[in-house]
Amino acid sequence: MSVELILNVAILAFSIFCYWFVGATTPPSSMPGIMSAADWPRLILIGLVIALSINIVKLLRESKKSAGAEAKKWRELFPPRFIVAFVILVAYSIILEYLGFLPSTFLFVMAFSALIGLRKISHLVLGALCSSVAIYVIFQILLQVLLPRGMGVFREFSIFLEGLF
Amino acid sequence: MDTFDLLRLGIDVVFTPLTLFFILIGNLLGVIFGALPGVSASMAVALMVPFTFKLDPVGSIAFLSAVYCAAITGGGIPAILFKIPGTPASAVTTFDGYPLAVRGESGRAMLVVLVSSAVGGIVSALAMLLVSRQLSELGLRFGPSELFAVACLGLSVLTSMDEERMVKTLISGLLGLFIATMAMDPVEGVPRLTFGFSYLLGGIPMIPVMIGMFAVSEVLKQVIRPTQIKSDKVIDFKRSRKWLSFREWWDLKMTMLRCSVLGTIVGILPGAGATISSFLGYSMEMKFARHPEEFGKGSLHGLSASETSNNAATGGSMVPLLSLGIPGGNAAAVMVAALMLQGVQVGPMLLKTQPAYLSGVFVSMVVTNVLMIFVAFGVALAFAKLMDIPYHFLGPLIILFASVGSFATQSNLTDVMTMVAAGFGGYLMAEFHYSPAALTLGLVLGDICENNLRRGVMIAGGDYWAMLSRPITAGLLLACAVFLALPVIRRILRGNRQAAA
Repeated sequence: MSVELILNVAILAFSIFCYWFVGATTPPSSMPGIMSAADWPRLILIGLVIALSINIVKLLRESKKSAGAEAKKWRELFPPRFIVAFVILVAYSIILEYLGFLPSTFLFVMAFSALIGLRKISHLVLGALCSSVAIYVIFQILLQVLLPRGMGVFREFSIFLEGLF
Repeated sequence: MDTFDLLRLGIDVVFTPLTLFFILIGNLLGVIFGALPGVSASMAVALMVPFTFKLDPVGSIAFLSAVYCAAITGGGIPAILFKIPGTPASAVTTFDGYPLAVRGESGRAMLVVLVSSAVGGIVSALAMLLVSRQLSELGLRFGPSELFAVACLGLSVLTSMDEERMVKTLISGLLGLFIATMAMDPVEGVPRLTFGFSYLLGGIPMIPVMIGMFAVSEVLKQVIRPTQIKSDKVIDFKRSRKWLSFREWWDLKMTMLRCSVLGTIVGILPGAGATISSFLGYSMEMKFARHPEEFGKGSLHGLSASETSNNAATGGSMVPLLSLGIPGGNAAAVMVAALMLQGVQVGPMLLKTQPAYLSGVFVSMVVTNVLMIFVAFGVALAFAKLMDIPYHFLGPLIILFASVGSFATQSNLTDVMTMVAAGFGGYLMAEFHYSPAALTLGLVLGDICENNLRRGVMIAGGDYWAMLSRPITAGLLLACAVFLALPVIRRILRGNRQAAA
């Protein structure tokens, strides 16, 4: 079974679940003849279920014709480099809350640059430092856009920096 | 006071050294702010309010409208070069701008963006000067049912975005519409499809989804296929292979004209704005195009449609502000606040008692839109320098801009996670030839569609027929049905012909 087919079936199942869920968790309309909170999503879900069913039939036909030759495999779709890049991105979006903008951005740029192919430690450190500071100066200092402060000692460090400018 | 007197008054107001200087500065800062993801056009206007204390009230609004127009245009710069929409209104610019940049035609793309923006801005300013009152009255005739029909018209493009993969595009658009429903119900005020997450109560934010779908997914693609990275050779603004010929410009005339009119009208409508205007303009031009299949692959018409429409909406949003005292959008609301800070009473009498406001804004917008071509070109050249940075620095830098852009709107870190998730989704969609553009179209228009449908039904007392048979609504819905059905019929006919052959 191709990845695309699995995804289509998963979305179809989720759509059917949502069709039931939205009806079960929202109250009926407060006025007779007026659309309730569930009606509009249900209308869209009906369209989505029909379109997904047609697509699934098409995908099944195609997979029979080509005997799966053209279907994308998991490894081809998610090579190790992609997985590492995605993990770095997810980790960055999580640590921003704890470490604040500057430390987490410094770590993120180092890790991502290394993944893309930069090997020299000095370049990694310098590049990460310059880009973090540049973005901080543009947004936090010049444009007064509040950036994540972090928690604990990192928060105190962020507040100290903000106080300097 | 006739039009000529108004014009002379506007020139007297704007062509003073101080106001001209401020308009130039506003232009430069507006383009830069617009080009920075995370600083929306209304935010740029708000940031500039303190500078207006140095100006008189008419000069203030002239200066702020310069910032607003320039910011909307500036958003197109990163959309072309990095596939990051600088402002939400530039999301559509990424569809054709980035493919052009990848082909080494970023210079051509930038020229089309700048000239189209200028044309859109100037036409809407003209409309503002000449038929401000009439346009406001037209805008007021658009109630919920008409706005619902307008949104449907925008959605009707779904069947023609990619005729070869119609079902996949439909699925993408419907997913966008569905995602837009995951929020607090707009009428009943109850949580809907939020699964207990308080974050979803405000709805899935549009900006992180757009940035993730376009910018983050692109970086993820570049990470695994480094052979595709041709940064300093192909995506080079300065070494763009060729500029536009006279014939190519001439071909764009109707696109610019139609989108200027559409953008001005959409700008006037309450609840709409530059973002919706660019989507609608793009949808409309796809219907009129001789080669709709080129849309999304680097079509100059697509690019021009997006930028003309969003800039025309800037002038449109000023129409109800000046003639009725009702702000047409967020940026116009900030301008009202700036005027009130200076003790100006904004309302329907403003134009009668002080016509200098209308003429000052008009002349300022014309000057801005002409100046903007040169200022934005300079800023674009500076941004293009970023393309010389090796991708192991540029890739993380794009993610940083994307993250700050997603975070800055609501100062909410969950938005950064949403951006990462959208990036993953955008990557999968691109790999399997679904349409991230259709998904964002659904997401942008979903809310306006549902809100207005339900309000319209409520006003009509539950009588759907009464609501849908209003003249403007019925006309727009009929056009929508034709646009939706045409590609399907064309495809069936083509299939029959092939079977017969």
